[in-house]
Amino acid sequence: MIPEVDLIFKIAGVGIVILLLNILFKQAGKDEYAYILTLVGVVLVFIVAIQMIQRFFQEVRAVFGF
Amino acid sequence: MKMIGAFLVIAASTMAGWVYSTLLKKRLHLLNALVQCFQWLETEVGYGSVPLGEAFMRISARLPKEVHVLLSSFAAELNGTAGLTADEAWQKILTQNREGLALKAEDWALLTDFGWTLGTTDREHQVSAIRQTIARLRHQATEAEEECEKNERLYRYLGIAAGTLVVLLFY
Repeated sequence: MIPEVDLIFKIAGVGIVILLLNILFKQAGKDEYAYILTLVGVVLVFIVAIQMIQRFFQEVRAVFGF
Repeated sequence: MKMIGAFLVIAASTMAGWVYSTLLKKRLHLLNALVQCFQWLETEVGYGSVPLGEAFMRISARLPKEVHVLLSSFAAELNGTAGLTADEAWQKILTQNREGLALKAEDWALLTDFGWTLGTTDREHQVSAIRQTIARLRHQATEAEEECEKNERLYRYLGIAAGTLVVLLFY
């Protein structure tokens, strides 16, 4: 199969950890930290995902010969 | 090799979280011990009329280790040959022990304030200063307890989760 499957697991793992931390912060009454943490999680995952998307666009350009 | 690195990272961050959460608890214990110490001091000064050096020596024997060090070194300084006043000796001891004790800046400020009244007034004023310090310490202790209850578990889990996150991202 495609070798990028572990990337999906990575993102899923990050999601789970962020979710747990989010619950933890909410319980401790630090809602603002929970919010910032979610934002950080989104950015982290985007950094990983954007590289993939960039590669995808390059492939598309290569296929159509631009 | 990768596994060992990942394990090390998780272990280190778990430890960091754990250490931080114990620091909170230590501060609470210290503050409670200090309250106790000042209560005894009030008795020694107010009813016993014992000289400061002797009073501190007597009290320090009954206290847990960290506070014991603080007080007994103060008493030694007072009885020493350097000829410091009580205030000077107190400030000197505080700056010496600043690194070793898990207290926050507010707590140190409180103790420094106490030093300014030490040995400069008569007995009644001394007792009232001690009482005031006790009240402020109590306030600080209840605050520390709240913080401890709220954040102890948070820091512990935060350490584990942060380590896991780093490992996940760089694996």
